[in-house]
Amino acid sequence: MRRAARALFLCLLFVATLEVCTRVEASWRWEAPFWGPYSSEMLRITDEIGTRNRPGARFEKWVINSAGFRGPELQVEKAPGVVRVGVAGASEVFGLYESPDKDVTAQLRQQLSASAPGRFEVVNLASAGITPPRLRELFERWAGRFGFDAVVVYPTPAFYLDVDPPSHTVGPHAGHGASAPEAFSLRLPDKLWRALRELLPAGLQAWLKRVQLDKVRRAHAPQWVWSAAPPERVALFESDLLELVQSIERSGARVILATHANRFASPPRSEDEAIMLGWIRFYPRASPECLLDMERQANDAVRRLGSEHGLRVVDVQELTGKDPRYYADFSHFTDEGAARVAAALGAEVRSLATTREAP
Amino acid sequence: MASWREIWRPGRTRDSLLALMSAVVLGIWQPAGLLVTIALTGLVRLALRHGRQDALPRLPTALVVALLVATLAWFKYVPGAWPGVVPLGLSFTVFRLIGVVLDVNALRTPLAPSRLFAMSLFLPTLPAGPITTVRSFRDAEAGETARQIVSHAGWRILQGLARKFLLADTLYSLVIAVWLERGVARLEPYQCLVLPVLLGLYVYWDFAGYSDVAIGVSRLLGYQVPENFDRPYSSRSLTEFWRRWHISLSEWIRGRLMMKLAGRRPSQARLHGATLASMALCGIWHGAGVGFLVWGLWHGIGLVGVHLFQDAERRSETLQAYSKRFLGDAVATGLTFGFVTIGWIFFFLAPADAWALMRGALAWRGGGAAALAVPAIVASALLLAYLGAEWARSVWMRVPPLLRVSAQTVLLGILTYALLLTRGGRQGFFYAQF
Repeated sequence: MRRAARALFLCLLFVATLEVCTRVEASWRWEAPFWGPYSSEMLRITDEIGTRNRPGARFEKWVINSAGFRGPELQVEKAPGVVRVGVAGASEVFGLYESPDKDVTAQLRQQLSASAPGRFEVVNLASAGITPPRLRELFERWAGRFGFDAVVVYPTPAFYLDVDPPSHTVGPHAGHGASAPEAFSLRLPDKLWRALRELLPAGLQAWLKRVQLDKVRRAHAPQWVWSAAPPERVALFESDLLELVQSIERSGARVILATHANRFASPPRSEDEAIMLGWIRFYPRASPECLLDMERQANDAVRRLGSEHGLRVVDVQELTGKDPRYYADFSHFTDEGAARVAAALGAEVRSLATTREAP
Repeated sequence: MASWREIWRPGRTRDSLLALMSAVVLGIWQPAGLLVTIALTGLVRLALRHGRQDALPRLPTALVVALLVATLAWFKYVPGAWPGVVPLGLSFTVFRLIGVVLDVNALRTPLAPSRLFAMSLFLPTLPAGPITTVRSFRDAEAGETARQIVSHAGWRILQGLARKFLLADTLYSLVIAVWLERGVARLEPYQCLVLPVLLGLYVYWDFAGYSDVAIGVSRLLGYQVPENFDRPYSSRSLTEFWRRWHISLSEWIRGRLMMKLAGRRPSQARLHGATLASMALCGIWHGAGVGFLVWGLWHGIGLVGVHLFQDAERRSETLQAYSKRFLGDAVATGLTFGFVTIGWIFFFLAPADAWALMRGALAWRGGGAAALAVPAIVASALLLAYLGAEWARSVWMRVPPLLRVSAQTVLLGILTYALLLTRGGRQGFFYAQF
């Protein structure tokens, strides 16, 4: 009995040490509160504006300003002579794998500031998982008041392959209060899970994802899985994007569209199979061919929209050329990839600003 | 069926099994390296003469030693000489094998092939020593229970991992790497003064930590390998430092190189020449860089200086009186530490950076926070490295068992976190590159 109690005490002490280490590291590296709640959930809020970034939140490298945008503080009124540029999209432009200050928006800000100091103000309007209708909602209810001169739109077509298509009804969010994070919870389990995922061999990780995917698909008939992008979903993407563009333009800002980039070349590289599995598990109805078909058709729609409505289009997919150096996973950028995209967007923003100034 | 304890008792079976297991692990990891190590060990086997006085080796000792040295030089100093990888721990393997061939042939000590291969392929000491010899690679003494062995060896491994991952790597990633990345030319004068001290602490914690792990793992496997460090920065002279720092290498250099170069009853001049040459070779053993050569020569000059001073002290009563009055233990330790610390500048930095650092350090005029930081860091380093360790050891022995095991559990937790749950900041074992 005494030995068991002693063993239990030592086990608890071991776990407590790991928990304290987790907290000390987070406090030291990311200025996280030692005792308070701390998780990625703190970055999001659902309020009367919609689901968006929580103003003033911070988690690890992600710091949200008081307006609810990732990056430095921002006044509603911009300084005279300053061109305010927004970058709207989901996690690809919000920044996921990039080092701090190396995401697309941050690098665009740095590049524009280097070429014309004090002339441009670049704002990250993106939010992880945000769809075009939700972006429109954000723009109409909140972001529009910041007087943007130009907004880069980098839409994610894959959201349209979700089991349920993105909701395009923009209405009030009655009954949604600010979701308050738990007062106290152990941080170790999340840390352990993340470490375990990194330590697991790639083959085993792929197998686990496959099992997870098969489990979802087994509950449905074989035709439930799409082999090509459903036309109605492509059409919905195009109409949602058009509505978003029109909404932004109504605020007086010019829109720059960007095609969505992914790493998958044709023929596929051997290492891409596991990465594709990592992507497709978010969209169990889509086969790899369907996902790539959706990307292709959505990018065609972006180009078409650009030419029909006289919008500038940055062909990010073409620029990155499926080069694996630019991708940390299926579609999120590395520091190098983000720099490449930022350079292309920067050239377009500078050109747009010059055109606007021309008599 | 024989129990595991019977199979694993000291003897040829255990040596053979150990050699085989090591070969399998090394073969998976570095097959080409394994082949080179086996070939060199086989070569040494052919040069061994033991048993009867008139027994002759199948290959002359000198030829085998020359081939071993040539192999080391080929892999280490000819850039791109081998398209694959340099065999793991080649420098240590070559010194170990040269030691074996010289010792066995001089002492006529019997050495079974299983023992030779177990020594040569012994994984805990393969990457970075300690450099074992026929005498220092021993079966662990019997008498301890399995629980005691696991407890002692486990604690030693834990200590080593703590030195390496908590002290050395933290110091490196938080300060040294940041300063070096900034560039030596951009460092503040006080940083130029502090950096060599930090480099000295880093290499000590890294290498001594590795040695602790190697000694602990060896003990778990039923073997005893020699100690490699004995609080070197508490040395009162450079000769003492070399009896406490990388002990297995310095003994090897002293016994197998310096004594051979000096010959029997050498003159003072020849002894000094042998010291200089040996230390220069010791420097080059680390790599082909000019910095390593300068580091070796720096220590060679220091050792010759110490010998000359000690000779003069023996002859002059006035000097003895002055020495007693002004050169107490603390001053002698401080001077030795300073001398060794300057040496690390050449060891770690390219010559141009080394000179820039020294110029920067000489520009320090005190003042501000730096005036406090420099002596505080140096004093803390000394306290941490020696006095702290000694004090901690004595306190540790008086701690109640439950508190002791609790402290060990906390340390294990911190290490587990540092090794498995946090990203970045971890460096490979520094000496494994040599």
